Amino acid sequence: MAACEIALEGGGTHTATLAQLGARTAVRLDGVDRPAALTRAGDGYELRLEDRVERVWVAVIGDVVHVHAFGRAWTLTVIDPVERARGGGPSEELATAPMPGAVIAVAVSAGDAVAQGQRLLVIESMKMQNEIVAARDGVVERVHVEVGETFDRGAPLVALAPLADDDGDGDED
Amino acid sequence: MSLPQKVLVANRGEIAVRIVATLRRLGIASVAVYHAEDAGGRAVREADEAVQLFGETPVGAYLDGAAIVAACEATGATAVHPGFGFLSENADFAERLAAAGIVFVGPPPAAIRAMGDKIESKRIAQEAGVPTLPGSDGAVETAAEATAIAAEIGFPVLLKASAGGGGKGMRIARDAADCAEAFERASSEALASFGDGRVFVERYIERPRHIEVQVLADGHGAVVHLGERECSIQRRYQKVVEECPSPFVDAATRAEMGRTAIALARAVDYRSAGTVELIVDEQRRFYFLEMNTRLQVEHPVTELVTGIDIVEQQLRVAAGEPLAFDQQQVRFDGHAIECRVYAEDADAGFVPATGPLALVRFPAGEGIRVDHGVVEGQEVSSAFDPMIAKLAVHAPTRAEAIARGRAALRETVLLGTITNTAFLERVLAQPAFAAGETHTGFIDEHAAALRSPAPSAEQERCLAAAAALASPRFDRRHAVPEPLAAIGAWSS
Repeated sequence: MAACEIALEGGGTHTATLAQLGARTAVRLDGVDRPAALTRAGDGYELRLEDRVERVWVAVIGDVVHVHAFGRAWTLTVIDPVERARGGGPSEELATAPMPGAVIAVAVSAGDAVAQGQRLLVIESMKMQNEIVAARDGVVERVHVEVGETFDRGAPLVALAPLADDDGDGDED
Repeated sequence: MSLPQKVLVANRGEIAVRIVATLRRLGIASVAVYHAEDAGGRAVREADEAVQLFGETPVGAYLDGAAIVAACEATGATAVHPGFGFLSENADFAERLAAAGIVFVGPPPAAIRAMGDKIESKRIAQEAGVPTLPGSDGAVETAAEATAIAAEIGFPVLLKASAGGGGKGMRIARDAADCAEAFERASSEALASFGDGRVFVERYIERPRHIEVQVLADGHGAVVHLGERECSIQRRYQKVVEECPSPFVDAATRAEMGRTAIALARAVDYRSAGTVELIVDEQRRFYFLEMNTRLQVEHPVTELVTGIDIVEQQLRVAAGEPLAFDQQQVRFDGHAIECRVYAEDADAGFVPATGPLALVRFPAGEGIRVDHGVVEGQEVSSAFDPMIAKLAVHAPTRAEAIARGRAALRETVLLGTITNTAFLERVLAQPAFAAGETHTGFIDEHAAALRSPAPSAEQERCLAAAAALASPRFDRRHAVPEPLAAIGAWSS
């Protein structure tokens, strides 16, 4: 199979595939074969990578791999480059709800010019108020919610108009 | 008087599990109540019996006093332990139980009412000789009024909800221009959270510490204190790390705080366990904040240091027993630290997180206590407060407790959602924390040092390799690892 990409939250993205080195398995990571094994140990796993041995715990949920290692949890997402080419990804165009809640205040309306970091909405979740801010400079295309409205996690809140001249480097000025 | 034979626990999650543990130890049968969201939770499994509650919202189910009385009648429970939150500080509920012949494991309704209103409780504290902060005499109705009072007592000021708690409806204003907006925000949050938009204004102490005194009072005139808890490490005005004793409190201050807390408890004819919260300035002067007329979330640190089971004492006092010890017999042994494990993203402003707890491993061992109410596979939902567990450690010295706490946090495995365990470990790792320089602005002050560090290149290779070996996306014809804790659907 083709190589997949593995993106580490808070870290980088790596190309990976499994390879066979004689009797041993290796992970081909960014083009370099590294002998590796993941075996049951106690209530978790033991990861061997070359001569390093680490105690890890792993939970796989779809394409997200949660790993506890080095004293903390890490989140990695496995991305198939072929599938990614077919669908879109997250964007700066649309502010979505980070958690379920209700709208307390709406600070902008369609047509308003906004600056990166500017307050768009005040929402309340779990009795705490949070601001939803603009991810970039732009013009508000649509406000999807009204004061008092409740929403679920991931719901669209405020859409910004697409940049007119998106030549890839994002340099509008 | 004798202990009740069967007690209903009107709460959920870790505190319900913790109360059931003491009931079991005392040979008392336990009844849990639960909303459908918690049907698979640990509290339901641990209790001897469980009764389902229904409500328009999950939280609403636990606030339904009539349903809880009915559950007592259906199961034969003769007493209710309310835990904290929900109905624990609801005097009407305590009276409703009394009318049905059921014992409320808590203080008398009059004491709940007296301490339940911030303005009224401050007045009572002043009369009892407890120092209080300069501030508005009563509730402030308008932003203009708040600004005028603030100018009189001097900026910065704190605006806070009269009916508040847990930091909800609180704002700091540093000048007159700030004050109007701070008033509106505090008032609207208070109205939304408590149905009461009244706000009052008081002097804001710079680099304040939150230190609280645990008291126990019986119905026979005895009141003792169980020392203080340092609760200054807070985010969003909510405690995340608590310890006993406070590294800042000396013996003389401890004695004075204890004497003051006991005086206040006596002033309201207190009975049961209660906590007097104090704000302490850099000169160790302390001022009354509020009295919580219930078991406190962070009670485990006091239990670890004193060896006293506070829930047991509540049950004994509610049954009419006198306290079996006096102040001289209360011993303080070593140092305890509690860390509140939340499903939240510390790097993103502590926003609550939801998601499955796909893999759960709590540490165990000498000096480690974990209070939790979760079951592996359970969802952390937005229906309730996102606290997953309380991890408390006990050791002979504070330095050893910090080391033990850090190790225990690193060994706490919670996979599937985002939690704050690594953040808490970094808090305990700060030199300023080790030096006891804790104040309520600690997390803001050390924000840069508390951010997640980037992984090293070698760590990153290990993590990517582990993901490749574990993910079903990769070709597994060669050297297949044993089955993993895979859940959920995936397609290839």
